Amino acid sequence: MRRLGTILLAVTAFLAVSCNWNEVIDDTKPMPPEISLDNSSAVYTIMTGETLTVSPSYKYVTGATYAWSIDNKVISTEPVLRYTDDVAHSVYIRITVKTDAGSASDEIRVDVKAPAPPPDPEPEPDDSFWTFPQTEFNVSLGRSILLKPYDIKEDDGISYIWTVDGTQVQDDASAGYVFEARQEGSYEVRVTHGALSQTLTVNVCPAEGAYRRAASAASSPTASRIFEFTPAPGQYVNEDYTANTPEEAVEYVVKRFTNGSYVSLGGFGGYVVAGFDHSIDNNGGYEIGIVTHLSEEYTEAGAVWVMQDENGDGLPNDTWYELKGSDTFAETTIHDYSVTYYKPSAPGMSVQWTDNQGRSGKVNYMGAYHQQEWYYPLWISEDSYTLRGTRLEAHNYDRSGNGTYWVNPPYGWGYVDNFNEIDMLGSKDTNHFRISDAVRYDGSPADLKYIDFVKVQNAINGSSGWLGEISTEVCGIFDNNLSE
Amino acid sequence: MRALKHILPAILFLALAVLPSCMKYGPAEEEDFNIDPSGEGLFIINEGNYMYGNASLSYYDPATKQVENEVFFRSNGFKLGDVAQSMTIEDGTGWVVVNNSGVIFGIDPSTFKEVRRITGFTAPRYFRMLSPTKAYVTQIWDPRIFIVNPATGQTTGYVTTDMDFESGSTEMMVEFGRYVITNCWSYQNRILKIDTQTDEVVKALVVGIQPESMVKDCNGKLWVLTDGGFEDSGYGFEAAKLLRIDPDSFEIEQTFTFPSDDNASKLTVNAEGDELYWLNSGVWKMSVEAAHLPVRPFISREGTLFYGLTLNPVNDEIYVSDAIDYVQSGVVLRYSPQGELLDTFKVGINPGNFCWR
Repeated sequence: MRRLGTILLAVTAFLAVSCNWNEVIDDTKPMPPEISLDNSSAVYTIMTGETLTVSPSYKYVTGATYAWSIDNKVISTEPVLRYTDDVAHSVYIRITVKTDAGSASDEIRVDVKAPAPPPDPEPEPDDSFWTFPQTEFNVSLGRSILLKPYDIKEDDGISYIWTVDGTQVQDDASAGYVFEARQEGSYEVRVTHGALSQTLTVNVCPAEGAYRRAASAASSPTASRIFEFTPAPGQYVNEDYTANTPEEAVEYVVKRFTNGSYVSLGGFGGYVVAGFDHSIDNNGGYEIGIVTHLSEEYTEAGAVWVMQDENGDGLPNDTWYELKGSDTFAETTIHDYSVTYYKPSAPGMSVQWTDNQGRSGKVNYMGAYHQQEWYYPLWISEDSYTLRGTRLEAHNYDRSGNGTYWVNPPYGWGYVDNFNEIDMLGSKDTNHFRISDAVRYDGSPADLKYIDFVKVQNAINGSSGWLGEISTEVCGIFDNNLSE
Repeated sequence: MRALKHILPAILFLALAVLPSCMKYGPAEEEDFNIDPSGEGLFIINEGNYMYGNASLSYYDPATKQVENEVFFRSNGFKLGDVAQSMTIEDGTGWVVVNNSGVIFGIDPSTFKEVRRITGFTAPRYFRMLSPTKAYVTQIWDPRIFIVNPATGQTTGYVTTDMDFESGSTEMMVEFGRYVITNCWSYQNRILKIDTQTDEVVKALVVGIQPESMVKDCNGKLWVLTDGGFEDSGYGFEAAKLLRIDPDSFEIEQTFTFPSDDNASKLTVNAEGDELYWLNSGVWKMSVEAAHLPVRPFISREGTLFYGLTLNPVNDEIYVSDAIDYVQSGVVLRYSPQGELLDTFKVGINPGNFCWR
């Protein structure tokens, strides 16, 4: 019985192994060729100028012909591909093997990359003794304006001599001169410091109110015009939009605001300037609303500046007044802070910067998430540009301790993209601002009765690991008097 | 740049663990729906924005090409809550998991009316019904899987794991007979095999950094997509991988490694179970028998921000959601099985997941 069982087991095993036992197996029947690539992703990466060798494994290839082709153009007829390319791009190459028994085909991708450019040399900050970012000023009759050189390199003990229309008005060790606008007209103001001198023009315009444009029933609560969009470099700059001119950059902002989408101001100093079809009156409340993204844990605070159309030309070329916030007069706040950004020498590189405090750093290129070639605005043709404003101390830190969880606690009040219960006024997406918070160069109230233009400017120079640079986000600007 | 947090939910959900939930209830007029229960339909789960309480549910009828947005709110008179994560229809009930509200709503798939509610979670992610009286619920930042009774809404126990509360989490669940396999995604690298009769983890398998999604194919194999984490992550960063795993032996049978700068996610399978799809900027497609990854996308990304992916189980049409900028209402793009764009329709904010009825 045991023997019979063994025989049955053997037969069963034979049948089990031979699944196709009822088919006639013809070992002489030729098999079509088979291709097995030597890379499970079928994607090969080489540098420009390098030679790639692809050695697939082939089966059933007696008498085979081989054809490697790009867009149906044969580039090789060898079993092994050797490929060189001088251009950085991705190319698809198909291998086709044919025999009398049939054919097989497969496709690979070759990512040809340019060698990483050498890092740019450390930028050399401008070695000028002083800087005058603006040489023409418009100011209303009865007001005063501070004229001064910026970023003075050193206190050399030499005095600064100021003249107005040729008449000396000040000789002092301090660089600034307060111009009192006592009579309408255009004035030539000159400052001399040793062998250096600079001429400025001050236009004294009619007194406040001459060009006020009262709101009407037809007035739009939302900003009617974007005048300028100058972001600092950042991971969202040039992403999913192409702007090669300042006008195209403005069009981008208009489109985004219209859709309720945000624009990123990039790193420190990036700004957007908007105007209205009427003057926004100071009624003692919160007259300006700025829509943004608000997060309790991560502020990206932007400072707000306002301007009257003092010369009545409809353009924001007059005097900016900062709206004070909770940290405007904090010891850690730096006024007249400036950062100069340097265009990288090649795509895909971080943007280097220096500031007027002697520091330097980079807006990091974050290619894993934002692959656009340039974080430096395409519409800025200069190889460097400087952004100036009020810098708040960054609060950001890594709560996790291992780089994964960055937070940036909010400031008290008075900034865009800053979660706080004081100026959100119950909103979930808007910070509100008072024209009565406008301050002059010395911190005293500007006492503006109305404003015509609003500027939002990123006030933090900071970066949070993999989150990248801290950058204010703005979705829209509106007259809160009309929206209430 | 804070908007990046939306791209990397790992960070977003870190915040979930430490912030209070916010679910906005408010009286509103209720609307009556009555969808033909015999027809197919697609629910779109719109996450909304974290802490904004603006998650929503959309419903699309492929037969009429009509979309209805905010169906949960319109039908029930109150909002869905904060960060809708997933939905599954089991035993005639649609289970909608609302992450930051810590709640799972059971709804009638035809009327969208709430019929059940399960609470007591901190950050639920997925719901899997095992019987009319037993279901698993995974959570992020919680090493436990909740065992709940859908009929009563009570938590009856937990499947415990060896992870801790600070970094432990479980995600999707795929059922193989008496076993459920779940992936430990955020800052983890394993999948776990759970015996649903004993409610114990019986095996664990290291698959790679952050196994993000899983599907079962026509051969009964499990496919796992790891996203590899992200650069500068304290947990590490590696190339994404697609792995085929035998659910019985719980061993990796095949590994496909993506190019290092790829960002693969949302692994999906067609109804036949023989074609895999995933997002990687565009939509990619691969046979389960393929010897290597495809080298070019099946559907290219053209000015879109693909965020969610599903296939119509009836005709293999491909539905891809576009989150646009994570702020405004998203769009769903419908493609033919051949990858031709057929039409688009607007849905809610951040449409991240789908559910077919």
